[in-house]
Amino acid sequence: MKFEYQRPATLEAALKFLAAAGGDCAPLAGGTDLLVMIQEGLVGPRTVLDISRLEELKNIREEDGRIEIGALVSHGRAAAAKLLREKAALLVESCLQIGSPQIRASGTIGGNLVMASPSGDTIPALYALGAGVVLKSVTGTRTVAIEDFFTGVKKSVRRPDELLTAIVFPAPEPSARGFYNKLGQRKALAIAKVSVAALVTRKGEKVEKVRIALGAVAPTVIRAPRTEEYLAGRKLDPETIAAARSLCAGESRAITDLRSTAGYRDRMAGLLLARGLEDLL
Amino acid sequence: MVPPVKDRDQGIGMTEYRYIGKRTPRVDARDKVTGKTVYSTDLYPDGMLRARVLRAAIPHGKILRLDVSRARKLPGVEAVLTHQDIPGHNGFGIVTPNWPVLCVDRVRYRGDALALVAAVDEETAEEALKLIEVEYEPLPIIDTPEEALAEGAVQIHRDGNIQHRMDIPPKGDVEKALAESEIVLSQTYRTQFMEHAYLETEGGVAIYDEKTGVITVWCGDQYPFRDQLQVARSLDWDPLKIRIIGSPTGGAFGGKDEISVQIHLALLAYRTRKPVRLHWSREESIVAGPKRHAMNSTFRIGAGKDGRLRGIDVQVVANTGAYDTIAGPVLNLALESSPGPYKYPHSRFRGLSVYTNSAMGGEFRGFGAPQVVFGLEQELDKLAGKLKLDPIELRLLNAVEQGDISALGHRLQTSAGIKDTLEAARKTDLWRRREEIKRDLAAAHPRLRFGVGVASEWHAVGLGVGLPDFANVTIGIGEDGGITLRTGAIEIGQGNLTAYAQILAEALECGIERITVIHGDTFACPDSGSVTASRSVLINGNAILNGVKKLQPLLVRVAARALDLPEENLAYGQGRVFSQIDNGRSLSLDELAARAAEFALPLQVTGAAVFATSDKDFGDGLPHNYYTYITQLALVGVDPETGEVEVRKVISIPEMGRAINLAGVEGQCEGGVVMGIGYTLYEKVAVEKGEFLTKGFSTYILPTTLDSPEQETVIVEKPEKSGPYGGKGVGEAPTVPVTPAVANAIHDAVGLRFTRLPITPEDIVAGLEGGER
Repeated sequence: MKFEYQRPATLEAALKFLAAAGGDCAPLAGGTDLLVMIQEGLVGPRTVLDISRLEELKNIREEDGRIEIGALVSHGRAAAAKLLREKAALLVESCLQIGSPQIRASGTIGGNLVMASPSGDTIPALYALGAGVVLKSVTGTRTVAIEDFFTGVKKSVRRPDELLTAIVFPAPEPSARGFYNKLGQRKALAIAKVSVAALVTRKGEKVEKVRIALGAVAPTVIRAPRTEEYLAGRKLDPETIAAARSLCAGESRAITDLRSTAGYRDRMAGLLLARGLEDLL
Repeated sequence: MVPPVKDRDQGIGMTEYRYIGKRTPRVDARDKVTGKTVYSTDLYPDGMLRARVLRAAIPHGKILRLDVSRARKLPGVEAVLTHQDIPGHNGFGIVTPNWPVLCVDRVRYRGDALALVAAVDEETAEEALKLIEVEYEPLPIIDTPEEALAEGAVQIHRDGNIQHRMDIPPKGDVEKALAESEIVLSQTYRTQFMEHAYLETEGGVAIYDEKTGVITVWCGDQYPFRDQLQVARSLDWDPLKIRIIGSPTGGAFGGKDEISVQIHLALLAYRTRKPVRLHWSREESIVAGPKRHAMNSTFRIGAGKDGRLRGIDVQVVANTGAYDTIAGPVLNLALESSPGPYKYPHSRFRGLSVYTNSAMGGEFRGFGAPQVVFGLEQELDKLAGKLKLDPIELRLLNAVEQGDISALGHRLQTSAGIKDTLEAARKTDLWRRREEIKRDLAAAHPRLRFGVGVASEWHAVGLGVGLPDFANVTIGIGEDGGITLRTGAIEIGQGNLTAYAQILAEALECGIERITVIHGDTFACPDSGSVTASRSVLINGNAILNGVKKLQPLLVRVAARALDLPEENLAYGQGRVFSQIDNGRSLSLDELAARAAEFALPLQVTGAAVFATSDKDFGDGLPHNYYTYITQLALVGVDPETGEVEVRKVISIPEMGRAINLAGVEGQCEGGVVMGIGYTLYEKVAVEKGEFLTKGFSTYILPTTLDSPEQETVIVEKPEKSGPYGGKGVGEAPTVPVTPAVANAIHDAVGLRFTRLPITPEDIVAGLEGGER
């Protein structure tokens, strides 16, 4: 394989390059997916734009109740960040489910989104957190709700001239609790067969609000709206959880492939939700 | 002083040894850990070309046209070779050489090679492959033996689709025995193709020296002298001018006993007169290289209410893929392994190895045993369950001892410690307190159910009766007193070099640091056979001991001359030659070496050994005369809702005669167990309509450290008088019974039996629901 390699020094230069490249250019962040795909001949970009040293995209901060994570924050750094451990534990859990320590040290939060795999580990967690994706180009900046970002397997609304620069989400209320539960073919270095993330806000004994996202059971990560609706206003007791479990399984739309079967995945979507909810009790 | 004569009974007594049975650090550990070890695929000679292989684009079809003219014209391409460029025999194979070096008019699987390219760089070689034009006429694709044996099935080879049939002469009357048995069990077990997954994929470098006419091939390897012959046969070249350097190899597990890159490299190096490098990609390694055979094994076992086995009838059908390599012996060993180390008065074993267009079946650590032991040891557990007998009791009741007649009908002439391993298993805390352990774990992990399982195996050591099963070594002492041992055996990661050095140091009663082992080079070492069949320590060890028997008189002769004493008054011991008169004057090895040089007496000997064979000969290598015996225990946790299985602990209890290196035995057990767990729960080369669905490690799932259990190795020793210091071999056995031990533990945990590998969470959830997956 042969490609042109560019390493711009600033975000501005990177965006200019992307605008001029006219599409046949692959931004390189951690490279844990892109380099494998190039190696296997699945993609053959004319230019690889190495953005991995753009320090301005490596910050994690909270401002006015909003948490912003730079696209180039590695999964390892995200998982170790005090702010995220305190306020977005489910995102930390999802980061720790990615690959192995080596892959987490290299792979980035932004990269996991741009690759747009329905089994990407951070994606359900970011759905549950109600995140937005910041896309920048020379013509401007836009923020897209994460649920509108993905359009299919490995497809998103990111234009070729845009860079994903950050992920933003409202800092969850202190009482909110979340989880990310996943089943893979083994304990580490595992692509999710099925995964469930949820963020639950309670008022007293009752669920005030819940956001549930299912991974690897549809062409994109999906929400489970009927289950969410059912849970809202109810007390989390075994009966409610059992009902949510079967509702959630019904909302899963899995297929059978090399990794698992449709029936198993649908069923496990319900189970992983139920177990997460039980653990909140 | 005259030293006490050391017990030279080769370990049958209770001699305290200096090296044997110790935890000796590996002689190659430091270089491996520090990255100094140079493997074949680490070589990048100046001016070398990069080679690539054009593989079949379809799994089965006629080649109507093969045109390499455009590829040959590409700048940077130095050679493009087809079958027309093979001077000698266009085929290779350990037993029957019908695997084409380059296909002529037909492809039979996706790994078939059609053309070779050597170019100045990888990109040009890759580009040239794309310029080769091939026109095929597709033929029906056969995935399974059932399809291959169906009436009207397309014939994959001229002689049909049956590669090999083996019927071991029946013992007694098994039909009658089964009819008269109070309990009869019957079940078919199905196993998958398994990938070796070595760290170093197949690869190497070749250089042709025009001055000497020698073609040197550095390559991943298990038997350099057979490679030498196979390369010579295809190049029509003098074998003595083919130099194979195969050691060290970055993992082999049986997969590198057959030719991979050797002939291709030699052809290209000869044609281009330049160094050539060929290193298979992981995908190529999975698709083209041999795999563990997929097999279906049907057991019928009869027993009395007393738990005594009355008869066994086994039928095995192996999916062997497109060519032979060593499929016949693999099927034969599956049959020999299938009754296990138990006594049955009546038996019948029948096997069929069938050609398909699926993956290539070949040699793989365990050699046909894992496929059948998975079934047998579950059947025995079922029997124990029906009789309400403790599973270990049932096995002990039927276990063989040395001197017994085996299920196949041959006398077990060598040490047979299966009972000792079962007794040791019974004494483990895990087995004695298993109900308590399971209860405590269940209390701590309310979502899981726990189970403990046991399984045993006998694993043949050596190639078997009727096959050339030998080793040669040379031992030399240099002027400086350094000792050089040369063996053709390959270091594939198993630790054999250390065992050889221990045996030699023990026999010469000298420091191990004095010894250098030169290995795996056809121009520097004698032929020591293949490192396969758990054989290399036993046979090289005996060759070393035979060499030492010749070396000691030489040392005595040197001392006689140096001390001016008659030879009969001198004796070798403690690394010196002592005078038995004359107040015990002695000469050290260093002094002897220096004096030998002075007298121009070379201190150089050869040592040879041949395997002792069985009292019976069923043909094709059956049966064997030596076995490793092993019992393994597994503790699993099963999540009945997700179906996930966690193997929490495995205890391996091998009887390998005497352990030469304790750390080596433990290493083989721990590695074998993880490999066995992969086979049981995760690994499967998925092939559909001849196409590989698992072409890399994102889809071919190997267990990681997190999926590996806590392990314990309890070594049971039963020294075998014909082995070096009582040793036999332990390379393969630990990979095998772990599979049924885990399956039996799963049954203990959730009450389900599985007859197909791998056992997946999806299977378990479906099983607990009582439905199909």
